[in-house]
Formats: sequence, C-alpha cells, structure tokens
Amino acid sequence: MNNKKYYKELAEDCMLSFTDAEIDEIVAKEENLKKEFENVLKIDTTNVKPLFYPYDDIHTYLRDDEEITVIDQKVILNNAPTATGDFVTIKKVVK
Amino acid sequence: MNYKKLSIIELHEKLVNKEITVSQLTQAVLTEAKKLQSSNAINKLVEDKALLLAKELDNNIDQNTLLYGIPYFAKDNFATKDIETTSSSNILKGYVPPFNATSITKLADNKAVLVGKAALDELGMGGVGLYSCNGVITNPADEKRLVGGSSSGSAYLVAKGIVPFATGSDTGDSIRKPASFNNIVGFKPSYGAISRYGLLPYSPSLDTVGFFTRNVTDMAIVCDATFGYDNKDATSHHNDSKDIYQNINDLDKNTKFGYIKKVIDDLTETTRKAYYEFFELLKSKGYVVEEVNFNQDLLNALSAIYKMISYSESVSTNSNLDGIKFGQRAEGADYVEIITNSRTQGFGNEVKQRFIVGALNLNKENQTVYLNKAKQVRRLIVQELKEVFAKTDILIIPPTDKVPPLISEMKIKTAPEKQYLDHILTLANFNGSPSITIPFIKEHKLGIGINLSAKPKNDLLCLQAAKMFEDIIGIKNEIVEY
Repeated sequence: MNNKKYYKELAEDCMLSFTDAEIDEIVAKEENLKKEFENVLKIDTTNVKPLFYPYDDIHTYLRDDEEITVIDQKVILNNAPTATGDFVTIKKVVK
Repeated sequence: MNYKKLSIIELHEKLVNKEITVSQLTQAVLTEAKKLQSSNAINKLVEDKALLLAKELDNNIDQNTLLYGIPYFAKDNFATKDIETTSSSNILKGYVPPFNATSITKLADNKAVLVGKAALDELGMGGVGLYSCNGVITNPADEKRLVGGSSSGSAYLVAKGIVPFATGSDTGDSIRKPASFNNIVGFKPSYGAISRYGLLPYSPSLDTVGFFTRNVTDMAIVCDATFGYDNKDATSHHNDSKDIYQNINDLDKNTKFGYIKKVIDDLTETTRKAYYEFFELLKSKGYVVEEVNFNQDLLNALSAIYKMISYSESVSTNSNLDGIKFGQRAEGADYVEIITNSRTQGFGNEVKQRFIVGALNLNKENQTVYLNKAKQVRRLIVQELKEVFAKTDILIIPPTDKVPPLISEMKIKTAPEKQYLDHILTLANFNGSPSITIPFIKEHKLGIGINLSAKPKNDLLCLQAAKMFEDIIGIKNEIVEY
C-alpha cells in the first residue's frame, strides 16, 4: 500500500487499467484511507471469530442437484456482443 | 387525472369501485413520467408492456389484491425479464435478462404494473445520485441539493408522486438515507426477508431488497406481497412477519424505545431538540424511552468496515461484467485486453476506485490484516446490537441530521468526531435488522427523517412502531409538486 506500481498491480488484479493521473489520484487518497482503516485496526479482536453474514444461522446446506432455472440458449447468445452458431465468440487468438 | 397524492389503498378503492381503470391510471403515470425524462431519474419506460398488462387487468378486476393495477418503478439493478437492465452502468447497456428477480415476480403475481426502470448510482455504489451513467439526478425539491442514493431514481419518482411505490436496494443506507432526503418512507427489511435472487449484487453479505412509499401502511402492503423464503436465494429465510397490513396498528403498548445519547447529542441543535421533544411526547403517551449504550470505537469504525467488506465483495461479485457474455464489449488484441478495456471503458470512476480498494483488501498480504479484521469487528458490532435489543425493542437513530446538502458543498467535511453520524445506518446492514426511515422534520420543502430499527427478523414490530410514529408526527403522502 505504498506506491504507484503497487496500485497498478491491484488494477490488473481487477482487470482495469488506469492512467498515471488516475493512479496519482488514488495514491493521494492513500493516507486518508490508512487513517480511516486505523479505526478498525485499533479495536481489540482477540479470540473474536470473523462474521461473514449478518446471522450465524445462515444456510449452509447443499441443495438437491435439480434444475431450478434454465436459460434458453438463444437468449444467452442474443445477449452476447458476438456469437456464431452455438457459441459466444471473442477474438480469435489461434490462427 | 390527478392521482399523484393517492396512497395504494386510495388507488385500490378507486380501481375496484371503477372510478378509474388500470389503463387510465397506467396511461396517466406514463404521461407524468415522460415529463421527467430530463431529470435522469428514469432509465427506461416500458410503455407497451405496461399498457398491455393494464388492459388485461381491466378485464379481470381483482378486488382482493391490494396491489392490483398499482403502478411502480423498479430500481434498474433488479433483473426484469425481456426488459433492459443496466444498473445505470455503461458496461451493462443492452443487457436483457431472461428472467425476473423473485421480488419482481411476486409483484407481478400481485398484479402490480411495472412502468419502468429507475436510475441509480452505478451498480448501487454511491449515496448521492451523481453516479448514474445517464447523468446526475438531483433532489426533486431543490435541484441544487443531493437526492441521495444509491436508489436515487426510485426515491425521486416516489417523492414526485409519479408512482406510489418503487423498489430499492440497501447495502449501506441506499434506501433509508434518500428517504430522509426526500420526505418519504424507505424500508430496508431484515436481511433475507425478501429474496435477493435477480438483484444484481453489490455486496451480498449486506445487500437487502426494500421499497420506497409515501406512508407506512403502503409499505406494509408491499412487504406482505414480497416477503418469503426463496430456494433460489440461499440467504433468504422464513420471516414470521405476516399479515403486516392487517396488524399495522396493533403495536404493543409495552414496546420499549431506545436511543444512544451521544448520537442524539452530536446532532445539530435543531435536530437534537426535535428528538428530545419527540422522546418526551412518546413518554407522555405511556411508552418507555431509554438511553442505551454503544461502544463509540465501533461507531467510529463503521465507515472503514463498510469499505473493507463491501468494496471487497463488490470487486468479486462484479467480476462477471467482462464484456464477453453480455453487455458492452471494447476492442482488444486478446481476451485479457478485451476484458480490461471493456471494464475500463464500461465503469465510472466511483466504481473503479471502489474496486481498487476492494482489490487492496483482497490482496493476499492484506486479507488477514484488513478484511478478516473487519469481519471480526463486524461480529463485535452485531454482539453490541444484540445487547441493545435485549434491553429495548426499537432503536431510534437519525438517518441524517440536516436537510440534504448542496451538491456544491458535498465535500465539506463534518467535524471529524461527528463523521460517524454519516455512516450510522450501516449498523442495520451489518446485523441484518429491519430498519425504516420516515419523515420527521420539515424545513420548507426539504426534510429530515427519523429511523427505527428492530431486532433482526422482527419486521412487523419495526413497521408497527413506524406507523405509530407516523401517526404522531403527522407527515405522510406528501409529494413535491413543482
């Protein structure tokens, strides 16, 4: 959390690209963000389990393996920016 | 036809008494909605579908279904079958879902008429109304001020009286803060009370489906229609709050109300005075109103925990927006470049900046230091709220302490020691409480709401208490006419 290269790598992780000016803007906000995060880091959480959902009794069962929703192939292909035959297509990379 | 001030019940009576037809009402709504196209509050009108449905409903009058023929807007992050759903993001332009969100299906089953899709801060990210890809949405009562968000268009359209209700989603305060900014009712039910299936996710551990109305009774009606377990949403639950409309006036006289003294004391002088006077009024009616304790360090950490958790979840849940399968695709030499360019061109700045902070928290080296820590503190918050609700039935908190800010002044910071007030509504997202904002104070055309939360899964109690408050406060069914 300390330099432009680091933020460019984070951008790559989420498949985004930023201009140098945009990265500078993000780096400029870093100090405020760190200061804000300190409000969390200073809280004593010894022996406290993380909570992933509001309730501990959230469902964790496995559903029966049955079809609930089926989307028509034609609808899927219609939503794709490009499609050929039965397939969604992207750039041909193997010639 | 001047229908705009009418509640759901009043419209229902006119429909079943044949004073108006569903077609006439739908046409009137569409006409009024078209006048607001420049507001950017509407992403899409579904005129043909709405009028066709209205005609069918006119041929099959249903006296027993309160939402029969009632027009509404859906926030544009609800999947609507065969209707473009963009979540106000350029990357989703052209996406037409092949299915309805469960809540949309339930509203259709109750014969409500979807008239269009309301704009939002892109993908639900932003509490201001400035981040829709289609342009800025401002407060309907004063265009120099914030409308709030992320459910900006829904709030705008209900406040203007275009429809009596609209769907919203609430991850941090996206229903309850705009409700306060617009003098309307905004309800975030318990987490999982309404299925999230078909709600485009922002942060699944916090996202909640809810509504805007102009009175609490109407809210009870839309909740009755949409609550319920859904096996398509693994986080939905069976909620015991049933027949809310029938029981809305039956609040237990022994209901206890609590408030956090420092929170009320930190409000502006006018708002603080109004709260303390209101507490005295409640006491004079025989209700118990007591101070409850809350660890201030946890309140001060709310904004950071929200960012750590929701931004991390958002970068993960939105990774499917890649320009490959649906939505807008940019050019590129290979699939990596295509995805990167599609996302870079398709998302607005606010979203991209949140994704970076999310990626920061998800980075291997930070997962324990930040994200896991935030989830541990989330448990402490939930425990603290459990203790609050062991002592009191309803927690009263201020959704905002001033009228909506001027857009030109939105970057003016509150005093550091009071900044936690801006994030206090997130409490109910962290623990899943039902939480409702209703109108409280009016300053000319603008207003300030009051918020009530109950123990998770006690939605009926929350709404009953809100109805009692509404009866005392006396502000409901107001619209912004000009």
